[in-house]
This record gives sequence, C-alpha cells and structure tokens, in this order.
Amino acid sequence: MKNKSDQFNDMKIGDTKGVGPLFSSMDPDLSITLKLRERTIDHLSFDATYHGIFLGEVFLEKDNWKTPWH
Amino acid sequence: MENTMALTKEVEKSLYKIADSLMVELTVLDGVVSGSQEVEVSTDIPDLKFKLTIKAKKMFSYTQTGVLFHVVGNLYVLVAHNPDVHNPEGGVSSAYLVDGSKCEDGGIMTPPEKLVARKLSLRETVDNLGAAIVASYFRKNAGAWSPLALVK
Repeated sequence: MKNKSDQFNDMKIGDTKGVGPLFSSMDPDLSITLKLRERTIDHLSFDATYHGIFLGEVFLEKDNWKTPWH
Repeated sequence: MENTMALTKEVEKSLYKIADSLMVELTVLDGVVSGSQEVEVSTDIPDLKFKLTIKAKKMFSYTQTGVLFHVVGNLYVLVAHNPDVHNPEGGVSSAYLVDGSKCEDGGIMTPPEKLVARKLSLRETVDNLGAAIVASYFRKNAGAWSPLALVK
C-alpha cells in the first residue's frame, strides 16, 4: 500500500507544488503552493503560500496531514 | 445581513454585495463590522483540506463602502463596493488580496486593520495598504471577477 508521502518523493527541500486554487472565482489558475521545508523518515513539513502570502505550515506526519487550521 | 445602526440605502446595498462576495453574514453595530464564516477548501491532494475562518475585521464607508477580512495566516482580503445610484441592480465590486506581513505605517510593521479607518475612501485605504496589496480584481453587478490593474 502506498504512503501519502510517496507523492512527494521527487521533491527536494525548497521545491514547490501547486495543490489547487483558494479563491477559484477570482483566480482559478492560481494554486495554493506547498514548499517543502523539512523531510525526515516519517515527517514532511511545508510552507503554504498563496500569491506569495504565507498561509501557515502544513505537516504530513506518520501519514496524516496536519494543518494549523485543524 | 443584520444592521443595528442607521445605514444609508447605498451603504446597506454595498454591505450586502460585500457579504455576498465572500458568503459572510455581516453585522454592523455603531460603525463596527463583525461576522465570520468557516470555509473548507479542497485541494488536488486527497485528504488535504484547508479549513479557514473568514472574519470581518474593519469597515470603511466614504464614497464607497469596504470591509477588510482576515482569511488565514498573513492573508487578508479587502472587498469594496461602489453602488450605481441610477441602477438598483448595478454597481462595481472590487477585491484586494493583502499580505498582512507587508503592512507598515511610516516604516513600522502595522496590522492591516490599523490602516483601514471608517472615514477613509477606497483610494486612501488602498494607498495605506500600499505594497501589501499583491493582487486586485473587480466585477460589475454579479458578473465574473476580472483582474484589476491598480494605478499606484
């Protein structure tokens, strides 16, 4: 069974990945961006931004997503 | 939208349009706006959702009416409305994405809500927010949003 972190195996520290729009009615083509900040064996941390504006840190820990908004 | 002070018809209409833009129910009490809305944003990654609370922070009402909302982290959105007095269904809305970390007053970092004041115009408000505005949009009536080029 694949882990959720497998989809980020190709990312290096500092790499970015768009994960979908925030205000789709205003900017359908602009994504929230996750920038890989740290990687350990069971932990990935990302900085989430939109238009370069910092939204918060997002973690993938032991195959569970954690956001500051949960 | 609940109004607990006497608002002109134009201001009332503008607040309705602003509330409708972000689907936030607004209340105005003695010129102080409040209201919030929980929003869940899905992403392209299964199981990763952003749960946001869009919260009204401050309003201004001069020739146009506008409300500053906090969305998440450093992201704020200023939504303004200019009613068309000749057309009850008309008017133009504008929206401005604001980076709260870039707001300053005389070189000193300042929360964006401190740069919005009740008796300021939209132009003055946009000037106060300055470089903290990273994108802007407008729409006529209830049409689609289009990019808006700001004259700085």
